[in-house]
Amino acid sequence: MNNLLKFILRFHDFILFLILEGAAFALIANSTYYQQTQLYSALQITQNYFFELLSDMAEYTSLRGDNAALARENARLRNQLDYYVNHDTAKTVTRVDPRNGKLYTYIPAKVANLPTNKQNNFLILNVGEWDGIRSEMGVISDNSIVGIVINTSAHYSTVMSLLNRDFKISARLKRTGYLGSLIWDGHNYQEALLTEVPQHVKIAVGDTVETSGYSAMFPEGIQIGQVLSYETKKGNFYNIRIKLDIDFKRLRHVKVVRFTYQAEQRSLERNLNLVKIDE
Amino acid sequence: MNKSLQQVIIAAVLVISQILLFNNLQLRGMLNSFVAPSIYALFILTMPINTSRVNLLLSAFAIGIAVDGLSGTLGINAAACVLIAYLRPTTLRLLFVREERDKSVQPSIYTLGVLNFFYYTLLTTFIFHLALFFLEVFTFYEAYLTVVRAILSAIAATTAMMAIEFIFVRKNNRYHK
Repeated sequence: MNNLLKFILRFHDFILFLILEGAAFALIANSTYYQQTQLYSALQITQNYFFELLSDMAEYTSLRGDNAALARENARLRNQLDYYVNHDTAKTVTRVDPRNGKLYTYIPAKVANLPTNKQNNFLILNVGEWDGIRSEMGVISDNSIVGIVINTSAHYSTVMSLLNRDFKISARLKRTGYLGSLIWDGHNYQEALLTEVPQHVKIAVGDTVETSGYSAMFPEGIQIGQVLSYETKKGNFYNIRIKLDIDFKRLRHVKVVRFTYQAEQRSLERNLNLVKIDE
Repeated sequence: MNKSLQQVIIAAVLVISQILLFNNLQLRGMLNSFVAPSIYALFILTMPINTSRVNLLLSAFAIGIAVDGLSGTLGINAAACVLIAYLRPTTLRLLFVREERDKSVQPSIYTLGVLNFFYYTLLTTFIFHLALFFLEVFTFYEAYLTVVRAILSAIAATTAMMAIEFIFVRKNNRYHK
């Protein structure tokens, strides 16, 4: 016992070092996105005040660009409207539920905090549960996808950005229709990777990549970017580098996508899992 | 002013400038992901030389947890801070050989000399960012990229810290605030 005490006294610095590192590692190992976002929520009152102040100031400097983007979107929507007015809408099934109207509704939101220089980036939006936001909803901007809602409080929500090493959704090449997985490799905020596209697919630089609609978080056919280059890495799949359409540094206004039958689809998927476990 | 109160204020100012300013650096293209300097480690670097290791470790853990909490990353800053705090006496002994100097001074460009302080800062910030970024991605996949991130961020952080030293520290070794 005496020897043990002597040992502890002699190496007390190193033991304290080990204890503190152990505590830090325990925090790292045990922290889930849920806890991280809970932590965010606890700090939101003060932090969001600052960030909204900053983003309000920044908004004035980018009014011109925002106006141009809104005008572009207006034009695009007008064209779409024209298309639907002049065509037989019964034929187009995308985004229109034949029974009672809309499959997707869009909730406008403003970005309160927008980091881009970490490896795992999270946005904060100024809408929350009171605005009908729930976790696992998709977030889009006027021309591309932004991320996925992972946690909500009453007035704010946390979004896992596309610029996150854990982000992964299914996307497809518009021209050929082949599916792949869209991920971010952490190198450049203007580029992402489309992986798991089989090698027999013919790819051309400049091909458009869009959402596949299989995840139901995002509507089908939202443009993500253009093919910049592609290479074959070990195995049978392409690694396609994509130039993202979205500029995360200029992002101010986004829309949260609410899929009308999200709960229904999720319960079906849960049943599917149960069946698998039973077997 | 009370010495320990002064230290707390310096720590708070460094943490706030880290959260509001240096975490929101906007750079072009790939530089944006590769340069993410943490300047608040300057607090650990400039604690008085006779500070005990126990004090160093506890202060480092506290400031690391503060930054972690404010930027939503649990534990990684604390782990990196505790590491450099533990290594600090060794690094100082490597560069700061003259034992006869007054031990109660803070390491600064005036007490260590500009060049020595530069080496000291660069070495420590490199270790700090290496630990921080490996914990952030938590994988050795494409490890060379993480090392490059650490090198570039260490250079940026050292530059910023030297600038802070030149602007805020006076020859009598008190922060000019």
